[in-house]
Amino acid sequence: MNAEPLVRLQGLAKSYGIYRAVHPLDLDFHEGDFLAILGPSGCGKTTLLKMLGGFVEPSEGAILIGGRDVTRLPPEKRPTNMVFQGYGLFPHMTIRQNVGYGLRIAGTPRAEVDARVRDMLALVQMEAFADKLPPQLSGGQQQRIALARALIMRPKVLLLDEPFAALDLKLRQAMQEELRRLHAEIGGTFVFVTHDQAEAMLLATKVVVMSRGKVEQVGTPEEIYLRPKTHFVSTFVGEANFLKACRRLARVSIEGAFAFDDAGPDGDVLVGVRPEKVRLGAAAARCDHRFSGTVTQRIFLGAQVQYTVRLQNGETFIACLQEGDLLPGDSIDVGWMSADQWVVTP
Amino acid sequence: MNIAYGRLANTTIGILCMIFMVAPLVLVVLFSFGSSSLMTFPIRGFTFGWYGALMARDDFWSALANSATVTGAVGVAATVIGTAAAMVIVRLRPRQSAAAFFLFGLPMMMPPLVLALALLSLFSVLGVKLSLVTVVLAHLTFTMPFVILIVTARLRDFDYAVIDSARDLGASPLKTFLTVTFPLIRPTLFGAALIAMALSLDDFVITFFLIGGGNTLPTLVWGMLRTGLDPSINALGTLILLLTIGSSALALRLTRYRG
Repeated sequence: MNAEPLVRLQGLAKSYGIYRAVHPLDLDFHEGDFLAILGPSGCGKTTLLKMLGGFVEPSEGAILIGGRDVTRLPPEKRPTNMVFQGYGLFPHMTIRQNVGYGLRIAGTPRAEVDARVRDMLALVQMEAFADKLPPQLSGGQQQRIALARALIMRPKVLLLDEPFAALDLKLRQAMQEELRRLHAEIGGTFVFVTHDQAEAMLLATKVVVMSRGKVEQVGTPEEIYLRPKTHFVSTFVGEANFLKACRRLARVSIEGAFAFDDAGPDGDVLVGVRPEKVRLGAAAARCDHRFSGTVTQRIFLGAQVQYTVRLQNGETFIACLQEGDLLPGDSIDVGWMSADQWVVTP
Repeated sequence: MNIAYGRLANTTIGILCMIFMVAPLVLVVLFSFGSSSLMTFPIRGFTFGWYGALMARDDFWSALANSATVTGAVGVAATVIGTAAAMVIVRLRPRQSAAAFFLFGLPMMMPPLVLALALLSLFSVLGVKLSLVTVVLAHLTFTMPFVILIVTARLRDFDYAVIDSARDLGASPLKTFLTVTFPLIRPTLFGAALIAMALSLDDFVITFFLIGGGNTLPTLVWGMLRTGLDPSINALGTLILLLTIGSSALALRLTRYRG
């Protein structure tokens, strides 16, 4: 991780008139990273990806790829290739011609184009469709061709814009697995945009969470999930319980309960805990932090049971347990470990 | 019963309307092959003589050459300029593109006589000598709107991701146009060109005002009518009819969206 970053974004921003689509951001990522840009629609994630590909001109800042400034280069001069949301396959060319297009434009000798197209079609398991036209293919097949057409250029960075948005659930899972296999098999640096936090967790080695044009947090899936830095990340990436608390002189205290050290500015804060980190009953006795409460709801979810508990201070907690035979109305101890909690500002 | 009568009435009216519209055309074609120099029924003999008489006239050949020149130039120029305009219009905001359509469409909506007079005054103010060039310029004003309409409609359902893809894969803007955009819109462009040519070929009013000297096929018909009703006019009419219908039919085939 100490190596020179492959891609470096410096104060990169995009404005449309007075509207800031992407606030100035700094971001580095490395060779071999599988990066997810995660956020709700309209958060600026696609704009960011298009700036990387050269389809949107940044208003400020710079993009460096492999140490070279590409900020003002058009798409055809960048060492990036993109898989577009609608795939953008050329309907008047066969699959073979589609995949070979970039190499032909670059003036690659014919024999080499043919050989590399054959290899690439084998890699995405589409050899049998080489002479078909794109409209004759299903969505998932078109997606494979779009991938092959980009990968054949051996891009330094492969960009994918909501690659699985148009596919149904089963196919989406199959293609996610396929993309993971491709990344493992051929290496390279992949950047994809998604609004699906589960997809980001599943595929990425590094996640960039965006909201309203700003980067909320950058980290591994584990860091994002277990140590969210903002209220937005806490709720966008999974479920979260919150307790109102107050921080004064680097000490966070929850009224009538407990206090712990946590550096940060004074003021109102929220203490967050994931539902599956909450312990109930006897297990709570061994926890760092404890409340007593009353079970108000029990929902059987198959793999786990979800309890809603009203705490003594009136707040509501959700707990997900592997099993349990508690019933609504039962009084119960609720607890969690210090290591499983985090503090954000509301 | 009532429904059956209603349907019969509808069919009858429809057929009568068709006869009313097509009959004159059929007559022109029939008389062009009739051996009598009087255009009356019954048509006695069958002859290609009127076509021969037409071919024998020098002014026919010069009119044909003029028509071919004008039509060809209009077809090419209207398509090139109209396509460029359409590519800009599809990128405009809805309000701007509506305004652009209205402006470009004005000559199409104006009565040809008014347009002809307006252009004649313009050229005389500018001191431009009337010639085939002024005819071509004049024809562009009312044929280009059709090209713009047709090409814009095609570009509206164009998948722009293919253009971004081509650029992304290393093609320059020009290369992208040549290898992706043009092949995809080519049938539409041919269709639009043929429609522009069909409109140009049979225009009389504007050509008549702006040609200065010489004839195109429609003004030749007018000239022949003034010297006497000769069945070789019917032969000429049939030729113009064939060219116009042929190119329009081809245009319709080409511009139809092929999913």
